[in-house]
Amino acid sequence: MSALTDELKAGLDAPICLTWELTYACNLACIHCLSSSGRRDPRELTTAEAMAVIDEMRRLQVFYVNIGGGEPMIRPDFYDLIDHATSNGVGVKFSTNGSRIGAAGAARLAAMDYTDIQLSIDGADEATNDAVRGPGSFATARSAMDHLAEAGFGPFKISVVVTRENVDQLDRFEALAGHYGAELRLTRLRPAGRGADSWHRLHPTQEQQVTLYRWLLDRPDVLTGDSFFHLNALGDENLPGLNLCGAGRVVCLIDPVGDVYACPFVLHDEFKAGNVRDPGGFTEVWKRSELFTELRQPQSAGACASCGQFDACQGGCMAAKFFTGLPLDGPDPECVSGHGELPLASVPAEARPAPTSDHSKPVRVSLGPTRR
Amino acid sequence: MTARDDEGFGHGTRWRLHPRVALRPEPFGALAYHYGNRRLNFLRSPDLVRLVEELELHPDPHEAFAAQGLDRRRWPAFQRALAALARSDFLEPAPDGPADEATGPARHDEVIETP
Repeated sequence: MSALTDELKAGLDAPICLTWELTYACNLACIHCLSSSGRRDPRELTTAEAMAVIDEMRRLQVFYVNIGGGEPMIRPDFYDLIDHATSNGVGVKFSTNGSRIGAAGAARLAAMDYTDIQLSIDGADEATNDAVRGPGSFATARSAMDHLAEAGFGPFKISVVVTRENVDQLDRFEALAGHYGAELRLTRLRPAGRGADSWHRLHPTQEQQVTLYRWLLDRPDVLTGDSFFHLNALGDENLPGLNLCGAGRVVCLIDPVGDVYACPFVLHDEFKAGNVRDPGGFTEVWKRSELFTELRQPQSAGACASCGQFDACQGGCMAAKFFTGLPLDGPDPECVSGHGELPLASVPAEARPAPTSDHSKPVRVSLGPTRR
Repeated sequence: MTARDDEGFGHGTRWRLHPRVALRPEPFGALAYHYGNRRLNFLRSPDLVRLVEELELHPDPHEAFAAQGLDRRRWPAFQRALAALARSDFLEPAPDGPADEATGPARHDEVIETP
């Protein structure tokens, strides 16, 4: 392990990678939504509070922020906030389902500097995508991509969560990105939020993980943001990235009501470090919260200590273990050596942690024709 | 370019930190961020941080090493580090006139994952 990795594990003076979910409001209801978004939370940060968070980022020299949601473009002050960030040296990359990017929006975005866009799709065709993201969502995202291309935005990103259903479409995603001159970005499905339920039938099979690892090794230009470091145990060659869990060390998440979590995949009270509204603001939470201080201590490899692959995979993802009810110092549920299978099978569904926050819209139940 | 080529990096040229690069102090040295090509670099020693900050004050890297009082045995390592920084446009030859604009594709660095 490199000394840099050790240094990063001990924490940085400010995050490298800060994700900020601006709102829980969303027009979609994706079945794997990490934040169980849908309804706006009335406690959402006000414009003034959000501006103050950006000012803190500038003071901390957070060079760029990853904005998400919910659907962040739903916030009426969305453009004001990204203007304030980019004009203060805080670059913005935001994730969107594309529903607010028409011709006018695309032209406005194309004129902005330091702003990157990630459009989410989870299938290379309508049927595969809409099964996860909802009816019409594929056409919506494609329309936004067309508008961005027409407006000359430049290379936006197409962001895909890899599932059992779309892993066979990797070449088609690559072709789609090529068609737009876009960058392809693949990330790992996590059992967080509404994904806690859908993960069990959507996460890639062991065989698919091998295919994915090889596909990624052949394509170092496909972005993954270190998402798949658990796959490094599959071979001698590591995927590009830092190969570590950055939770609370180099990464964190601010949610729409200002709660600060260790990473974007653990929106749960157990991983809540504080709130930007607390005295001392985000800076205090990052530098001195009890949770983050603890995460920066050397972590035990636990049950993985005796496995020869631990240096390659680092025991995998904390969030994946937590939400499947596995011990944090044991194998990842998708351990490529299969060490997660038995522990996973022995966790009863009711032993998995219950969600501590859910903004899903109420499910509409079809009652069928009324009898007279 | 080989490591050996890198050890001859920049001889006879005055270099400077690219004007669109910002440094953020960290326990291990500094994080460097390039607002032009949106890449991130780790400067992994306080000596290297001081060196890149003061590079422009000296006619070439060797003069800068000497001015910093760096042990000669460490010069090749620093030279390789500077060569790597120059390759990603974090360093540029100090111009007589106004600075060049940044080059390279615009993309946020992806060292760490986001949703």
